[in-house]
Amino acid sequence: MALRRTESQLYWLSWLVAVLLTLWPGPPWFLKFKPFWFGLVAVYWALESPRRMSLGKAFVFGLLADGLQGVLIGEMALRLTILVYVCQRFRFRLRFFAISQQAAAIFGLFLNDRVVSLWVRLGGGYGWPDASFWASPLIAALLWPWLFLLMDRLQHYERRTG
Amino acid sequence: MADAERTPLFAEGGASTLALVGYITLAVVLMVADSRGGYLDQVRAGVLDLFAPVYRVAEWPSKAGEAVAWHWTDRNELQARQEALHRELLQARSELAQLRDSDREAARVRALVDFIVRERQPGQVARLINVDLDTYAHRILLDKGSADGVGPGTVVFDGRGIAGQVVEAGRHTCAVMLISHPEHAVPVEIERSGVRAIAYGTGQYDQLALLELPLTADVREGDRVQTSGLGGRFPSGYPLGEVTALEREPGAAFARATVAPYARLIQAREVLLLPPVVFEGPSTQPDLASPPGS
Repeated sequence: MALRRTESQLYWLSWLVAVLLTLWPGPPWFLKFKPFWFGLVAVYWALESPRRMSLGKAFVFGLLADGLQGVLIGEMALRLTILVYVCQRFRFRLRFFAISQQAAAIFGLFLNDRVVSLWVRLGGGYGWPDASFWASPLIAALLWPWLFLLMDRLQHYERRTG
Repeated sequence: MADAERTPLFAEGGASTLALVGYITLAVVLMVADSRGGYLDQVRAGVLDLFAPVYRVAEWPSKAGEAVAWHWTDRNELQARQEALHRELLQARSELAQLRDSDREAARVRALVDFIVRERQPGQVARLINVDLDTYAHRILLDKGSADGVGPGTVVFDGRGIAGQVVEAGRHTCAVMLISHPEHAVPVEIERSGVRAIAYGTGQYDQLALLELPLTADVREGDRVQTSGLGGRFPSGYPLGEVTALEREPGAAFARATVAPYARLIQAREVLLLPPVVFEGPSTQPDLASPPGS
């Protein structure tokens, strides 16, 4: 192939799907338990390769997400950068974990993300959030194995055909 | 040399703590600039235009779902709904007829005692763009923008109560800050006693707070709270909510009331956009000689 593709189609597709899932309102009871899709996708690619999800990319994607979701500019950039940093730090260990152990690690990662988010929100004067605020790590940990397997399948498929 | 020249933005390689510290600092600076200084307001309006197509595409799935649900709605149910709406309309009409009369009288009185004259402008209906922004952003998006004459300060009313105000307007999209946003404040008065206060957002969708109430202020649970029209943005007399709780702590300098907003802040479908109040004046001398309409 003459033109070197820097990123696979799957990479951009996963971000596009994350955008759509994030914006999708769904049933009202579901709103508070919406998974942190950007975080999950960022973590997946950060574990895949540090080049695909560098700190700089996490920061820029985070800024775009801030604009998209209308939160304080810099909030999502901060959260994604920290997520990706921790992933890169422990990348080799995390990659060779069994899936259940990975899910546990994801729980820790997203719990840390909630603490960062809480810090930003208290700073912004939003007051103490309600209990559903802390559901995010659990949801991320429960989703992770399925997301990981699905993405792995898709990547294999893409390599074979593309 | 090559390393030094490489842009840090997309740098390869493992986790660099220095880079992390740099990005965290940058993010914090941005957040402070955004929240305290409002330096990024211009950027935000541009961003809104940039993402407008994304929002429109993202609402397709829920739109399709709605269309399917609508298609399968029972005929009897529709009839019942229509009858209920018809009854509501009749009631609203009769109330309106009564109001018109008292409004004329009120306008005359107002012209005598007040030197500010409210200019009435018709509102326009806007539809909510059905995407979920971050729950903590306390923002909704509407399908009207600067092309429709909507700008920052336009007041959003959902039929039950004031819901918020437009903070950024793109060409065909605008972002509304809900009254529950912690940085939002509405000048209000208690309908029963006329006590004036400011209703602050609390970050919770179901409550606003009246802080800084005098300890002796005549406020009770169940009191209706409406806009006072002071401050020149929200028109006066629009319902806002109902007092649900009062705190009068013995040592405190002020009492605090909790207000439940009437507007259904996240479930609204269509809202009315009211242009910000236009004042005639402030004139230095109230013109008492000529009543309006003469």
